[in-house]
Amino acid sequence: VANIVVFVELHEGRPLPVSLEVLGQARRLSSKLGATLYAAVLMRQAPDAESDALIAALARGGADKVLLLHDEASSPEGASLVWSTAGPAIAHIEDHLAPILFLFGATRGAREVAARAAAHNGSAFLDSASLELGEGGLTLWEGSGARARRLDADLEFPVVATVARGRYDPAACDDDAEVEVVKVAAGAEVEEIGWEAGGAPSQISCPSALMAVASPAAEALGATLDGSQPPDAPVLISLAAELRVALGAHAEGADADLAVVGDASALLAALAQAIGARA
Amino acid sequence: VTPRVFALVDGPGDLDVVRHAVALGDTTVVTAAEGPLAEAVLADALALGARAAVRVWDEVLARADFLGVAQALAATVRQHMGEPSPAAPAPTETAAPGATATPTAAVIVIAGDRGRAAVGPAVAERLSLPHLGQVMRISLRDGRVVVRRRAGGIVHLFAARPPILLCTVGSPTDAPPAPAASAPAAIQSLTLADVGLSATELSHRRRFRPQPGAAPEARPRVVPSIETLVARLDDEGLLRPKGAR
Repeated sequence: VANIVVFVELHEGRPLPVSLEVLGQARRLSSKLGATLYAAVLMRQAPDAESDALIAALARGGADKVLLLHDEASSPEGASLVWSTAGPAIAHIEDHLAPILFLFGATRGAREVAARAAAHNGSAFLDSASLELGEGGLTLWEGSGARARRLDADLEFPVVATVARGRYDPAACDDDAEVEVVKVAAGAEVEEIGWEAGGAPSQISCPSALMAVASPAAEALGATLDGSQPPDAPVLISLAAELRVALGAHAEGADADLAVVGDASALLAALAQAIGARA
Repeated sequence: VTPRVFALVDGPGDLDVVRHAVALGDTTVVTAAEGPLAEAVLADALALGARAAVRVWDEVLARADFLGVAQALAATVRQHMGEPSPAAPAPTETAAPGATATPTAAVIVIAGDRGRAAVGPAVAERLSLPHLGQVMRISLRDGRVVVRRRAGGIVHLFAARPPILLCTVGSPTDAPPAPAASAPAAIQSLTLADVGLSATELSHRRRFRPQPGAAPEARPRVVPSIETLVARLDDEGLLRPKGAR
């Protein structure tokens, strides 16, 4: 039986929404293809009673099996994945489950590990993939729309892919799934030795009139604002690129997959308020 | 130990990779790109201070996927890892016959973190090196590579002993000035056979490379309210208080 695996990232003990969206589409693909769907989670702590809620959420999200990979050396929950700590778990998945499809939500962490996962087992790699079932079976693309690139293969070889936020809907299944727990051990090749706020972030162009309200939001995103741009500078699009969302009138034709109807100042004010409430 | 640095470049957009590399030490620039553009990029890299430039090429690479290209780059780096640094003094006449300079163990490979950001990690996999992406700054401290990489509003500091592969974003803030003009080093052109590969080994990777072909349009999903969007971003862990981990 073929295996499809979704690598699930957590935030505050819960699966990221994008992970559940990928899991949902993987559920639909698995049902059609007759594959077994695994939700794989890398955990720093050994599973305990509190893991039951996570397992139930992943089962409701469509997983046939939940694979809890326990590694004390893995990155703290919420920290972005890096290969030195997540790599052994990912290699374990590929070496033991040999998934025909190995899917990640398109997060910063996935950007760090997904391509290497593809290289590890010689897979094809698709960034921001579209995974569609039709009469002819499964078709895989990188991207969407007219600029997409199609992978002409009928899963004759394994494929590793990331999937953008908002691309698919989560599934709604019952909360029944088998659970496997595996202990893995990362090496200590790369050591995190500290952190600092700010740094040299990327730059967001912004009309000067929006600087005051945009600054807190941009800071939280690790970006600076460039007020030197002309007044029509596309702060909406710039922020959208950072957040991987599309906004209002700019949603049409955008690569990103979320949209909000509203203007920049409303969005930034809400973000600033949300961030300020946490500071 | 003076690090031996390799910069992997694919086009003009990777010259910042060279700037990161030459700030660390003797740099060999490697590309698996085609034609005059590749030659121009390597020439620019030499002008930025790289000591040597190597181009490996075969027509099969034009159709290969990320991993085919990574295999060619990795084989080229591997072949040059054990060679003396291009900046090392030539063996003297008194050296024992057949003696060569001692290879440095401190190899740092630097690639760009642009676009799909797939080739760099794949080269690391082929060379069995640890790798880190989204690297903004690189420094050397007590024989270790210390890097700064940004995730959200936080800069994380990582340290590792070489060898390591780093995928960089942006320009280094402390890049050395371009060296005074001097006779440029020659660009070394290699075939796949020169680095121990064959076109046959890589030709199957063309099947793994996606080809242009329209896909269904991803319809933007409308979030009904600002509050919903903020909640969603919060659930994704994208909203963090300033200064928090």
